[in-house]
Amino acid sequence: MYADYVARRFGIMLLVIFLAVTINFVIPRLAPGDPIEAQLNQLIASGGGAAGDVQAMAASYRARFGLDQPLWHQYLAYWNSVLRFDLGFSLANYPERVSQAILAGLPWTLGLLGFATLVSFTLGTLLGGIVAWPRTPRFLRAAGSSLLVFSSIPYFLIGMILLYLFAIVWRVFPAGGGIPFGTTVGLNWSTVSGLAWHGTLPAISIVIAEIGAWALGMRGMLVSVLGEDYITLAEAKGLQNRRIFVWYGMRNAMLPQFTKLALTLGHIVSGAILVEVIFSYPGIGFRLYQAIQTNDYFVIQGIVLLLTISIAVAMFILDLIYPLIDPRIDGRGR
Amino acid sequence: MSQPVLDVRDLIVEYKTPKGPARAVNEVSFSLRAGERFGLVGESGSGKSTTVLALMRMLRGGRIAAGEIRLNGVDLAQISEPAMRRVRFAEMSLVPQGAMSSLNPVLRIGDQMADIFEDHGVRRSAVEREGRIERLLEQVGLPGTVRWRFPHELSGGMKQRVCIAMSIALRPSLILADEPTSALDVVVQKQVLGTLSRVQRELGAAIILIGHDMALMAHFVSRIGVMYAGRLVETGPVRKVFAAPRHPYTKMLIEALPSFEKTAAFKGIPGVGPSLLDPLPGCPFHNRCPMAIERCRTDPPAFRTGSEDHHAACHRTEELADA
Repeated sequence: MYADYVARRFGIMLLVIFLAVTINFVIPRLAPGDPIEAQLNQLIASGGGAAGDVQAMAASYRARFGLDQPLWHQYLAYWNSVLRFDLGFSLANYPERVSQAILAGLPWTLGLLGFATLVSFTLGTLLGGIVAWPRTPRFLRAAGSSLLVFSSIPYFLIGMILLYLFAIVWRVFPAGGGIPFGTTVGLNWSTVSGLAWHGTLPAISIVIAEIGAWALGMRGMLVSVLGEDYITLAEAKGLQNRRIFVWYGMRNAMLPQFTKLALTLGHIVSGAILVEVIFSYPGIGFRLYQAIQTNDYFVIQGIVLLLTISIAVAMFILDLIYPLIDPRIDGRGR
Repeated sequence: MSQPVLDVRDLIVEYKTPKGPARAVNEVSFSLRAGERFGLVGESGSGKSTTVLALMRMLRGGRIAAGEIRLNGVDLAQISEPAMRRVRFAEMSLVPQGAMSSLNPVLRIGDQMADIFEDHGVRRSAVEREGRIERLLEQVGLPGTVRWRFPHELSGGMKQRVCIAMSIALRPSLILADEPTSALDVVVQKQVLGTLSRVQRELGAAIILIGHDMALMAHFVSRIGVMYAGRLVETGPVRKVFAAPRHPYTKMLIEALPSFEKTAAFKGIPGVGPSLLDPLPGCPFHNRCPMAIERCRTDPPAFRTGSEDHHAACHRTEELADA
């Protein structure tokens, strides 16, 4: 039964990845203009070299990248390289490979955003639950509700304010970068403290900005769950308030939060572009920003592909654990 | 006669509304002896369910404005909230109305029964507790293995049986059953009610059954109370009330029951109940009552004793009794 369910979910994931790779292949080829000629023209314009042989150079580059082959041939070759995680070269930072660029930025982004997302998920969910619980003391509910105001402030704005106050006015935290210069990275105290010191401001700005969204979602769900008949019976049973809150209220209201968490975690590989740019944090978002600025098609393409695949994988993992958190989804096609 | 299990005196429940307080329950008094079966009937909005919620002190948005609720001698209207929590299910349990949705969908049946013992400080070993839960389930006609199931794996009738098993877990002296079968089909209704009846007798607990189905009620309870517009308008032994109702509203309710003997047009009671916000002066039923006289419009009728324990709040109750 469960094996069936897993197989079906796995099939769906493979289908999503297949479509994502295919679309990722097709879209750039539908775009008007020739990226190679555009790039060459740019090089020549900036370098001031001879303009005559652009056509010949473009043709040789096309041959070099296999772009003179028939489309189906290119498509198969594309699959072949994707499977080997060979996403080609960065146009802007040639000869850096796209896979190198991604691998250089990914740990930073996963660390920063994974941490910040889990913290804001936990705090926001708890906050939403406390605000919605009718037996919460009034002052606590008022305080909690006022925190929700932050959800309406964009996080780059919070980032800029934090940066101004803590890095420029008070100089408590560094203004940018991922780790102090000259740190030898390893499993030692200076690495950990350096990472934390540099990661604090960007993490706080993400947490502050996202906590409200988690709290709002949780508040809405818990309010509707608290109107259910099983809450009334739980109260009639004379259960402790804490048990009703956690096991009858929160436990049921949590379900949509998990879906949102999986989607959010799937998204973090694309980075938090604005936060990373503001704090010049060396993550994927910063790379993506640079790539967009320099028309670095292959890097953009690679990051977008990574994003779609990681969302598909995150949803698959969510499907696997969902029967554990909601027994009504038990793998019998429901 | 020994002390009653439950003694309700002049209970008044009010809901706060923007237009002022609405009296959902108005000066209701009744009492139950040990093991007695009492039925509360009335149309929607007559205050039956509110009465039950008031007994459990679980009114949402409402409050007990006045009156006493003595359960085994203790006035529940006065005790603290933590003390009230300990009374729930230990001394007075509830079989809920919405059987389909009254169980927590993410917890196994056994866990939802075990937490009753845990939160009421019943310390038992895990093995003992498992055995107790298994016996409770068997008592209501379910296999003990149901404790491993989730609610969505059970039928409506099974879920209601689980609720009945829960209600007797701590051996309370009073069970409140708020239309326990309204969500079930007719065949299952009879079976579930039969089960409730059996476990109640075995336990020796008193029971209050809420309902609007007069016929179902007649089979189950020994004494009946009829509510109208938040007031108790007639109480008495169920046979006497059916044979010779002493309030015109009860009479019309009974006449509205379909009968096999005579085929006639289906009779209802014309009109709707009065607004609770703006109660009628005099008798609350006078605008729908075929027997209303001038006095009923101005003078609220007191609860009057008829024969033995058969009472009604009507100015013309004697004429009804003679008819």
